[in-house]
Amino acid sequence: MLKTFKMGGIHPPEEKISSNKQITFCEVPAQLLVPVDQHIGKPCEIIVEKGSVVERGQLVAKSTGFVSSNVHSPVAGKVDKIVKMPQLGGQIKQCALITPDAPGENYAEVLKKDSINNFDLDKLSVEEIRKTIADAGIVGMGGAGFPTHVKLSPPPEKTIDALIINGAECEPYITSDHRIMLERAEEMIKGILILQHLFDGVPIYIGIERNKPDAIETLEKAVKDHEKITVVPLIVKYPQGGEKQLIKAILNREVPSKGLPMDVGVVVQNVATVLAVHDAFYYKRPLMERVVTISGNLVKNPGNIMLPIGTPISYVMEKFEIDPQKVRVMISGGPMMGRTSYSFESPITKTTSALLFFDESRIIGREENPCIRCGSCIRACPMGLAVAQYTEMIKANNIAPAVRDSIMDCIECGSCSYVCPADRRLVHWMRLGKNLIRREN
Amino acid sequence: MFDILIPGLILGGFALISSTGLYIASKKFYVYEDPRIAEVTEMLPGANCGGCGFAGCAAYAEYVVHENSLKKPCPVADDETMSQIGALLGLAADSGVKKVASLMCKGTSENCKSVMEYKGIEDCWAAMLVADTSKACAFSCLGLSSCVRACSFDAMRIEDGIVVIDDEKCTGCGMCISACPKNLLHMRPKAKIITVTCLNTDRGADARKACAVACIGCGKCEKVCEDDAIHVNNFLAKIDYDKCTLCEKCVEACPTNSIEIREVTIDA
Amino acid sequence: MEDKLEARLLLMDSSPSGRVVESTRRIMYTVSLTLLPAMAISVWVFGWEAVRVLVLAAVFCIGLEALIARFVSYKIDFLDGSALLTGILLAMNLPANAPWWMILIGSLVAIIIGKQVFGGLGQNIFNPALVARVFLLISFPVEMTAWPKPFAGVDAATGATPLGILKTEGVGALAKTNLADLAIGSMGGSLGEISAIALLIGAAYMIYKRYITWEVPILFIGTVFVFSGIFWVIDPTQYADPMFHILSGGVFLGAFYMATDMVTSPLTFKGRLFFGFGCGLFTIIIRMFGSYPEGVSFAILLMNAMVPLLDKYFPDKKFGMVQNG
Repeated sequence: MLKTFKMGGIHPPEEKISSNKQITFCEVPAQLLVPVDQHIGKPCEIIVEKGSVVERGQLVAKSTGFVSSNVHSPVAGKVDKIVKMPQLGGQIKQCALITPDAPGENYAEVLKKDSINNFDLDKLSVEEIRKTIADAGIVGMGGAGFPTHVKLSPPPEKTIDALIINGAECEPYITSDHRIMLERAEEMIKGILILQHLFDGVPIYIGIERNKPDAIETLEKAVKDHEKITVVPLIVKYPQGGEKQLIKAILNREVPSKGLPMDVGVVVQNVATVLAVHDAFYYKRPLMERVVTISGNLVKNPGNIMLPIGTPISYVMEKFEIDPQKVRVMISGGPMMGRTSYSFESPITKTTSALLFFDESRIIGREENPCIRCGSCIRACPMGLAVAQYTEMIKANNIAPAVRDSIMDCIECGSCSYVCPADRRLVHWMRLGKNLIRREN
Repeated sequence: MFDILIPGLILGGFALISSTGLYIASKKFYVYEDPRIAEVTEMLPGANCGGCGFAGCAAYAEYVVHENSLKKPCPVADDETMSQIGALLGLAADSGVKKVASLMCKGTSENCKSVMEYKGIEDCWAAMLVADTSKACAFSCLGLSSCVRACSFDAMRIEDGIVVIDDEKCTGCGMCISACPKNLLHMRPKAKIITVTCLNTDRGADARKACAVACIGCGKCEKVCEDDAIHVNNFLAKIDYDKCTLCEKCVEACPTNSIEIREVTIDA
Repeated sequence: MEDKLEARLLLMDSSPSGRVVESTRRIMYTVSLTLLPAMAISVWVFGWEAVRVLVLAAVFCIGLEALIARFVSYKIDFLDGSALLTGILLAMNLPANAPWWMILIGSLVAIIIGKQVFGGLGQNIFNPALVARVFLLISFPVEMTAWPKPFAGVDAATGATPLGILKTEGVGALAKTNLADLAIGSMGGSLGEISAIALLIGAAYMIYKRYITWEVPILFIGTVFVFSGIFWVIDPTQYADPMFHILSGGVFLGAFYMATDMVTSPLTFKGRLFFGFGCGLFTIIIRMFGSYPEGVSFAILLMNAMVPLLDKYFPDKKFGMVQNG
């Protein structure tokens, strides 16, 4: 029986045009803009300054609390200056502008130089594992960027009895996780075993949408010897990869309203995050690069590429021969939840799973028409929210106390806006509503 | 004949019983309300703008009568109204300095170029969810009317990408202040004043690149000021109004025109 | 770091970037098209008179909305198909011999009182076409109940609907009507209410496209069937049989096209169940005990008024509202 979540959901065109493109490597670009903040939580403290000489893997910004995350330099080089730059997703943040010592060097060679670390997993203590992950600056690489070590440290009263590895990749266009599962399956499993060790050998489920049969097959082969790891094929439906939806689909547990996955005894980790955990242990390599899908209708040769954190978009555009004059819409992440961006100088961050380039044909920003109460948004909402009613309240700046929690439960998946026949910006209104409620509290 | 009389009597009887009931209820559940509350409410501007911090004019009147104090004057009512209210309550009206809102940005589309074409919903807070700014300067007015909607007095409008405030219509209720996500609106006395119309704290070169009229923190104003009233901190000049003597020297000295004399020309 | 590239500014909006091809226009025009079989039957039964009524109602409604669009501050897209649909539905509710001035008054009531005074598309509480029908029924009872006989041509005598006969002459007079005639549409009545089968064809497509949900029509028709069945079982000599009740009059038109109107029906599942049930119940009460032979329009309008309450008190189940784990 194929599994899925029941409530709501939509079927946007999959557009996974880069799914058969192997992960390639770039050359080290002439300049890197390493953003100081790439996670949700407390901002980091920058510890380099103009003129500092950095090594590969050297700390650039230090975490300032528990819910915070380190940032490292992916290359050896010199810090030219600290600048404020617009990021992918629109925020303006500080970046360390680093000129590498050896620009043009193939990044695959850089990776090969990292020393292999031998260790005995059984002898590692829970604290050591958490500390290594925290030091490596690993964050949720699916898009949100929540520090991974925090997710892996549930309070003692919550018992974790299942670990889910999120390989659903339900967003259209994105194929980076798909390629990781195909090409790096063995390393992934090793990373998973580290996490399993952390939670006393809990059963592990790898959820994969069945539009990736090759990935399902590869991983099933790879987990043959591990009886506690199961590959779970899932029905293709957006947002299958939403944390709460994935838990519902695989374990039929419903995360309570306002709750977290740990409330139902589950921890969910993304495929790319697991790979980063592997690298942190087996290569002592902090999170400094990631696989990014480059796609969209302006990209003649879409593909998946390993990019160091801080690579400017303009470098990627040159490499993939994208004409900047034609680009009208640039999205980091998938088209459903990814954010639009406006500057070609923005750098790749830990959470950039894809970069999509479109011309005018991408439907964006149409004028809103009156709501005809068709109810499509409510049927599409995977959280069962009465979106049409809430947005009317938000628009009138008059949110009934009874629906506040419901509005905060919105996962911003975009299903409602996607199906709305009247072009209403439902997700944007919901985000504004959440912002309004947070401001009032 | 009796056919009409009977329903008439029945209905009349009902009316009598209900009116007696209503009369008893109104006597039994009577709550004394100070008649002055109604009178004060009547005198107030009646815009229910909320600038005083209460739910509306009636709530403010209730507060004034109960506390028997005019220490928190209605920000909208003119001095005459306040003194009338004061006379009614036997209090001396504290005629605070009338204030108006003013925008700390001159980033018109000419001065501060757009860096994107924003297509989202027209609201500054909503725009901030999409990107920190839509113009080259991260501190600039977005011009998406959030404050205009908060204004009950039709005193604000968007012109050339920034908010323009009609000093004559502005009553100083202050509702726009919290409506601005960039904290660009400040209250100033309804009198002549010299002010730095910029909040950019970026380094001079960056600020200048972003906007033609940005404060670049050059410090020229600090040097020419004889009253020690203007200081540059974090690449942004700030004026100490207690010390400023309105000599206007800093206005002349400013290379980017980011210091301005603001004066309410038509005073109410 | 000079940006020579950014000659053209990029577009920025909140996610998601992309949407379905569905649009308000598409929905409205598709629903109008699904009424084609019913319109064809009415033309077959009543001849060119039916075409005249349909065209006049559509033109009046669109024209009026275009006129209003010039005078109001908010934007009205009078070609979005909603005015057309209102016009067609209004025509479906009129007799084929309706004079032009009655159609004009009906359009005025539908567009102005039924829709635009509430603030235009999506804001109205009552179904505009039904408001107009009820207005005309009360204002011009003679014209509105003088139904031309089927297949009789322009100048033919007029007669009553099967339900009218039932009301005035009792169940015995119904002996001649057979259910097949009712289902195909060979009876007296307004343009749209005569053929149950033609309406079903259109409705099936709408359910397939999810423009309407199954709950409202099934509950509506089911309730009428069950309650009329109860009366019929009690006394078949006084009450008509349930099949007659659901096939005659406006039950099918009402259940599939009027009650399911997106704007004026509940958003929630349980709300829709209750809504459909209420429509059916009021229909039967009015037919059995009221002074009007037909109660569908009144029943739907009554339930329209309850929609905000139904939406509020019958919310859908939300994710995470269970305690587990």
